Amino acid sequence: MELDRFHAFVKERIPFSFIRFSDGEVEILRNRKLFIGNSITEFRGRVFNNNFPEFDNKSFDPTHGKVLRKDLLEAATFKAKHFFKGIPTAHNNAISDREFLLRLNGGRDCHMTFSDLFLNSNFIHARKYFFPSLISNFDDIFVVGNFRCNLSGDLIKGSLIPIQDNFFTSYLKTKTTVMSALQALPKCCLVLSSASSLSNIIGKTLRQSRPDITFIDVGTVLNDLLGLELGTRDYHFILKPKKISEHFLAWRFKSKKTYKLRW
Amino acid sequence: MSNDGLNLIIYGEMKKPVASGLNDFWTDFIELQKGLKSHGNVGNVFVHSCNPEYAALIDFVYQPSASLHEEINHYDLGSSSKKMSFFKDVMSRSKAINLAKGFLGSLDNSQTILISWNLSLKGNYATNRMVVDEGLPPDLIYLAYHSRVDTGYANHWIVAPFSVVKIFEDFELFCSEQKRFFTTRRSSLEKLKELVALSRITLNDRILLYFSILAKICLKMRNKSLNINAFSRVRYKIFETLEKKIFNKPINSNENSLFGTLQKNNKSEQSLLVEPQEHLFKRFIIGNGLRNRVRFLVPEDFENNTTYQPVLRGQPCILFAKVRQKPGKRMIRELILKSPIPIKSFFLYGKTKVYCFVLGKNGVLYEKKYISINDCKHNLTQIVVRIYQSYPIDLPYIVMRSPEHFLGCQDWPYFNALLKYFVFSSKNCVAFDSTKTSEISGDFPNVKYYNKKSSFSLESGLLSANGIKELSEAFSSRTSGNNSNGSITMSSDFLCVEKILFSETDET
Repeated sequence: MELDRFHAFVKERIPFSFIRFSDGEVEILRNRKLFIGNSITEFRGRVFNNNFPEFDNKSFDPTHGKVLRKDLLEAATFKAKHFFKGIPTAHNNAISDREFLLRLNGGRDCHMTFSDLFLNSNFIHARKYFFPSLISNFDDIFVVGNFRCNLSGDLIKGSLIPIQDNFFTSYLKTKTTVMSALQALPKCCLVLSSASSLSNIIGKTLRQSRPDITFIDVGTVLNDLLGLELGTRDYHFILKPKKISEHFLAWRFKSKKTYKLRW
Repeated sequence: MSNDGLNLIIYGEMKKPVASGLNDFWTDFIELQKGLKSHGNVGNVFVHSCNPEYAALIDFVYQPSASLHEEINHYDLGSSSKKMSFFKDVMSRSKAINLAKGFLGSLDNSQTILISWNLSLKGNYATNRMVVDEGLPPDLIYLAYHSRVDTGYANHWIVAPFSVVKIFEDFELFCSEQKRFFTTRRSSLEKLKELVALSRITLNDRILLYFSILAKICLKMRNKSLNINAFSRVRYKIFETLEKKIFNKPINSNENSLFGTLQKNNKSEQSLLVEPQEHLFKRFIIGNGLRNRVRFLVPEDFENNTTYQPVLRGQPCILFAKVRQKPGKRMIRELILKSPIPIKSFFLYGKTKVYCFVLGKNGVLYEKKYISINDCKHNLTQIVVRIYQSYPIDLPYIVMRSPEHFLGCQDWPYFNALLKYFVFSSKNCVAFDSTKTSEISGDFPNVKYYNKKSSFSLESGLLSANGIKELSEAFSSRTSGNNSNGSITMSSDFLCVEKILFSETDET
């Protein structure tokens, strides 16, 4: 339903913003330590292995990341017309996080939606119909993403605004550089952002200073078009499974309870 | 006047007529300091209380920039003490805001906490613990969240910019206009109509509201179905199935009400009908166009990982501790930096000398002197008396085994409150000895009274100037003072803290 709404905005040339708070952002908002790197994840006081690539590395320390957290809290509490916030919901087994973010929003309203809006059961629709249609409606497309990004496919005409690995370590410098690049963008352009928590912060700041820009936090949905590794998330396998093992993983993912988006 | 930090406005009835002792007052002070942990920088404090008899105590503890203590008895609402208490709180809040307005003037955007006395005793678990976080945007209004949020907002504590706080002054007028809420008896149908009418203002999807009411009725019906016969079991099963279908899939209203949690809460939380004061406060918020700025918080929302515990209006005192090595200025600087309690003088004693460091008003070290204690034969009482004779400063003496032991304090807010209690009530001696037991409770949390015949160790404790004088006199007349086992006996009653306040791992 939200995808249709976004699609209607695009058709009517109404700029909108979509930022998403996933479990990592919730940890930062709650002031908890977070570490993803060296193939391990430290999350909610527990340590487990992961297979995330280097560009997914991030670390948040409550004592040193106060400015970042403050900006993220501003994004979580910010409300504006056509400013949409995606939050973890029931299918993520994150009802307490959903409630937390709704409280920070001052209650539920029509601007609150799923953080997995482009993922899981919406992934195929988003990739096959929504994004191609979105991209074709804009002349100027910009992507905020890792410096390794190599835009291809539908995004071939886009321009990259690069950010470094684990920007948390030089947050203020990265934010200033990216924001100054974004402020200079042409009118009514499209910005797709795949920059972890920075997407939430720049999305909110851009909505205030440049409401003519359409801003979408794409997360890892368009990884293949950004020239980044595909297969780091479960939902990647359902896009174009080639091997038998990938078909199996896609089937297994689709049969999970967490596949279908539920509020 | 301080231009930095939070403003704190405290209002209401500091002590209920039925309450005995001041335990609640001190508990509240301790809890307030703990609540400010993630935002320890309090600038101005404004106080209004309906207890003029405690004016001196309140002013001493909170050191407000402005305060007013007066009795409030304007409302005639019959015999209900609950209604009376609410109106007292509302009037007191308006007066406290007015007090702050006169003082702050143009400092409109400073973040302000409005909090009632005895917060920890009001409302329920969700609403009686203040949530303050320095990362939150200062231009918004933060309120406690509870499951009745669709029909009323909790307002025992409010965090908002001062420009908004000023608007809350008119809440008293609003309440007096809406007096029928308190004076007339309304039917359940009327209450339900009000609930729906109010919810319409904030709910876009009305179906959710009706659905939630239906769900609550189902839960009540299930609970009424006792498992005693076949019919009752079937009825229970039906309502249980409905409950699982509805309540295990929590529903959000537009006010973010998680109805699924109702089962876990106590009975008063399950009430469909909100407290009139919360209902009125919500109407006031919406009527003043403030709803868009309201955000809700619960105590579990944020984690606070910092070990630093700030104190509110720290009580100045003197530190008296044993050292193994000759202390330098660096050590003193470190102690000043790490101690949330302002230490005005340090008397650190070794085997033969006491190293005296006295701080000036601006906190700069201005005197460093040695006093020989060769003739004291390691008698602690004698050393303390000798120091007091050289420096007769009228501040509480903290006697510690070592400076590290002092910095290992487990609960600085409690310690600061204890120091204030100690000074204000003119006590002579407090021992930090959790092993002692007594039946006589003091009017301070975790403190017991001991009569003059009891003895205790002075290795860690508090002494007032009078306490030292008493020790001195006792020592010279040998009627009390140091016993052969190292403990001392006071000639007057003393207090003992029965919780472990200082870490034992001090021998570093």
